[in-house]
Amino acid sequence: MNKALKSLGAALVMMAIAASAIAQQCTPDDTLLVCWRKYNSVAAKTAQSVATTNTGTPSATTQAAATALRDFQSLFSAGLDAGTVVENATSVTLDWNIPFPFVEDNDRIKVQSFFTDPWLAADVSTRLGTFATTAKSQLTNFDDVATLISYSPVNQRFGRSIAPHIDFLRYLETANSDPAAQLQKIAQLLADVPPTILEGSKFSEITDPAQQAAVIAQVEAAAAAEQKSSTRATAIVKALTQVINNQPQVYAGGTYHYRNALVGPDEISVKGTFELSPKSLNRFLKSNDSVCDPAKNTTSGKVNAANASSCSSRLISFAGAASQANASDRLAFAIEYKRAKGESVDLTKFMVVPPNTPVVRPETTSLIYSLTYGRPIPNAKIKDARVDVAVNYTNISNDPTMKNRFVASLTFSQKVSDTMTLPLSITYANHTQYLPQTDRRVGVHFGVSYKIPNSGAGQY
Amino acid sequence: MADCPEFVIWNPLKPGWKFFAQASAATSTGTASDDFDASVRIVPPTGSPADWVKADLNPGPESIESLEAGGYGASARLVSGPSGPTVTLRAWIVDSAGAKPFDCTWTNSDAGTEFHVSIMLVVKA
Repeated sequence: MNKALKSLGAALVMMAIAASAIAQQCTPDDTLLVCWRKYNSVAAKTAQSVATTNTGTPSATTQAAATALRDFQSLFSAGLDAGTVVENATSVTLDWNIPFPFVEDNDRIKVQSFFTDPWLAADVSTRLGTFATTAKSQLTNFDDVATLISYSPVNQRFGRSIAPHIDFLRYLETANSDPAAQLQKIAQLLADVPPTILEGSKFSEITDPAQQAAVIAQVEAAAAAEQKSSTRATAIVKALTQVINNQPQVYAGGTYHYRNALVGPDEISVKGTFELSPKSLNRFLKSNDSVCDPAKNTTSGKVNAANASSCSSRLISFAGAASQANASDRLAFAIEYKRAKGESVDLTKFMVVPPNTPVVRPETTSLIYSLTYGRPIPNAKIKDARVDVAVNYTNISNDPTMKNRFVASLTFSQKVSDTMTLPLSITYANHTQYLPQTDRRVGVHFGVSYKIPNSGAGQY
Repeated sequence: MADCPEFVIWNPLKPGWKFFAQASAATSTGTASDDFDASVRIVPPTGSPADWVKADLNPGPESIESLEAGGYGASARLVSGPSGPTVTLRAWIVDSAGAKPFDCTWTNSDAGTEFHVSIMLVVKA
């Protein structure tokens, strides 16, 4: 019985192989295009949407829902972050990535605006007492707005663009057979055939049996060559895109944070950030320099095809390993210098009398150190998710009454579509901003972000 | 203009006609993007193959100024980079009267993919 089952299984496998072989045989009733597509399905293209990679929310890294992967790819995105429990602030983030080709061709600047639902600063709120509600009602959505401009260079070492790696891509594809010579043979055969044959013509329109058989054979040969070339090219480009997506990013920027005096002091800050990932193209090239450096493997304009082939195989293997769960982990370091304006807030219009008014705020300067670690969570059944853990430490340098602030956050963001992400964050702060005393705070934030990728409509 | 099939035969052409190709990429808002690659390899009936790279095709056009009798095979590749711009390849024929009897565009906007186009030119004396 067992033997019979094995024989039946073998027979079914043979039948499947035979059916597959027959399916790729072109017949005189096929058009040339139909024959071509028997080997090269239009739907066989593999999409690798890096622009739609889950990059978390477009918030600043010092905000609650921070991400270790800053998105400089999408043209525009917007995010809503709603705080609950204790940290009630709700913010809306608008995010633009604008081409900035003045240093290098592919450079971009990021412009972000954060509109936060304004809340009375704690130092003001305590002095207002029962008038706090009146003061709060006078605040508008434009009373707590931060605008950030940051610059990210794109070159062979930094940035997530293929443009600086075009020469390397061509080098990788050197060993890939090009079907142009096979196509030329088809065209040459058709030049000798009396009727005008187009891609939509049937082979049967070629009345001479020998010519018809020759054209069928040549279209099949060219289609098979294209199939082989396309399969290899798809693997190379997919692998290269994956490691480019893991390239480090470096960016620097400045922020102006405007606030109504009841909300807090205006602030100016400058910040530098460095992101890196373990399986980047830089790392691959560093360990495969001997066969992967086009300059070292090109002599008198002739590329060493064997080394190019070896390099592409190594890259595909490396990227395959890079598809493992931890391969696209990303770590971001940031340091920010911030200066808050000194001011005196007069509360007399809210019936507050001295000594509770004015509220005097000294000018403060601070250094904020940020460390963010992120990991994508691929899921074949649903859209990708990612987890980011961020810690920020604020060292306030010139105000002994202000206590240094520590904030930690854990953010889970789930893609619900290629353009929409839902983040959920848990934050911990050792005390509220602008308050001297220790007052530990835990908050939960949830939100939504929408991203417009840089691609044609309908592609995502 | 809708894309042509990825496998086209331009037939019949006459000796002396011209073949042109150019490539570009644009974001969803229509601004130019450099995050792409494109190339065309052409094998003529006689002589050596010609390779047109991105720098030739963008802004282009690159051309064969006078086709000779026989068959030409051209394979083109359009690579859309990580940001997924729409890469467009346009190729066309200009006849002796200046008309364009064949004129095609192909696009690829899938981020991180390479799209191939096969073009055959049948030049009959």
